[in-house]
Amino acid sequence: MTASLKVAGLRHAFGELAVLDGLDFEVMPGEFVCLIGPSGCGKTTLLHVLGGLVRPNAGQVAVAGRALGGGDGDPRVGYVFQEPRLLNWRSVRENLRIALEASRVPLAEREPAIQAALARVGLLDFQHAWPLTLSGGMRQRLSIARALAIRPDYLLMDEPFSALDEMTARVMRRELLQLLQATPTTVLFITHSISEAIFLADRILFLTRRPARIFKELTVRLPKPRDYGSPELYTLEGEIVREALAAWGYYD
Amino acid sequence: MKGQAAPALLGPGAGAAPPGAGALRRVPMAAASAAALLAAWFLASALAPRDYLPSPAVVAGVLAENLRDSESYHHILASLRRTFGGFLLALLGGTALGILMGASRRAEYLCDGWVTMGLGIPSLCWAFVALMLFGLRESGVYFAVFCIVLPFVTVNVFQGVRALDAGLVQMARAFRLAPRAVLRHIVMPHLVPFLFGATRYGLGLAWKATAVAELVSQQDGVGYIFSKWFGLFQMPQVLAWTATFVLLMLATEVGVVRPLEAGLTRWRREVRL
Repeated sequence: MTASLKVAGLRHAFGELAVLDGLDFEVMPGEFVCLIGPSGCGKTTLLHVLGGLVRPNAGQVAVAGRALGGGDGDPRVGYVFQEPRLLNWRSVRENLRIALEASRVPLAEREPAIQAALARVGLLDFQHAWPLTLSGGMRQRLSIARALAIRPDYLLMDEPFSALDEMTARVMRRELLQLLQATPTTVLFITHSISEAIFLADRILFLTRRPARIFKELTVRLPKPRDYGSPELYTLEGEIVREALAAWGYYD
Repeated sequence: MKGQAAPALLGPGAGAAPPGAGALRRVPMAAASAAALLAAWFLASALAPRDYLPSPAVVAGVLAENLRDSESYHHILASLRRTFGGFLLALLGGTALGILMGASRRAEYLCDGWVTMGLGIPSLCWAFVALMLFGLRESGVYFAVFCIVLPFVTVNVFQGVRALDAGLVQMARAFRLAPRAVLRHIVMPHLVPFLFGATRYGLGLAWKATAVAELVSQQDGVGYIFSKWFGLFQMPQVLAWTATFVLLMLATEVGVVRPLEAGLTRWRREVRL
């Protein structure tokens, strides 16, 4: 099976400041991979590179075997940011339509795609509403619906639930997994929450402090759907936290 | 404590004035301030020596008389045409230039100095430049108004582009929005409040510029009428014509600019903190 996303020898620096220090990893089609690292370690820069927003100094990113930024057949990237980043002056449905249009989804498929995407996140009744009239959780749902509606080659998520309260975040994590079951998608998910990573991920990549390297890789073998309160998750989290904190130098 | 403080600041009742409350308060306040102005005017005219300052009643009488004369409408329409024509040209040009300066460092550095200089050039200078370039042709007035208003629109739009949310621009790039779509769906809607700021200021400026340019080069329009009546020291006429145009600009603001702004910023207005 060809990897959905293949990263090789990725390096990047902003001037003197080295941010990414030789990253190599692959993400398989339909796989949910969490990237975890201390704050300021270069996670967001990595996501920007993978989203084609930043051109790396060195290394390759291949999507389904083709180089990213190669020009023809640029991949469709679904991006969910920490904030919803919606067009607040466009209605809920317009926000989706504009993304679909930009992704060159054929005209005839747009309306069904909008309806389906809104239905999946429970926002169909709000399709004509202004985004700012929605709650924070609903806005982030719309942002997720937007990213999935374009049927992306892969989905990049940059701490999408960290700005929400914990209860909303828990509900949304569960919903995200249900969404992905309905529409299998390759996901690269950035977080600094170990419990979130264990709940969501098929595999977790651990990054060092800046400049970021991968120092550990963990396949989470617990069956999905997982349960937040379960002892297995709790035990696993405890082990990982100890190891990660040591590696990030929080224990002296 | 916490339970009390939070609703007071952000609870559903806080920012959500009952619909129409703003209008209820606005009308009596505006009426009161207009009445105060009229009263002060009455008093001043009673105290002023001879007929330096005619009373509002006299001016209103002259105004009513003028409005019965069909020739007045020719002058009013000429000035309105020049004011709005010149302003719209400057709005288009200033928006384009402001966006260009916001989008390109090179454009910013090239134009920055000119725009700052333009802000400081007196209307009268442009009126004379227009007279030299266009003679007595009406296009000279449009040129003068355009040159006077352009820098103000440009500065407003440029500030607007600078205030653009970098996160949204990043989102647009991640979703591969074409430059046209970015302009249409992100830049222009974001600029709406800045454009209305430019319009408020720019229209008033355009009207003043029109009056000056007409005074210098035209044989019709309110500016021309001003100089005619002032030359004859007919203060009731001078004030009546001032009042005519001030009222017209006020009507534009209340009847056109405000409803348009309210419509275009509905997405924000309907939000209640």
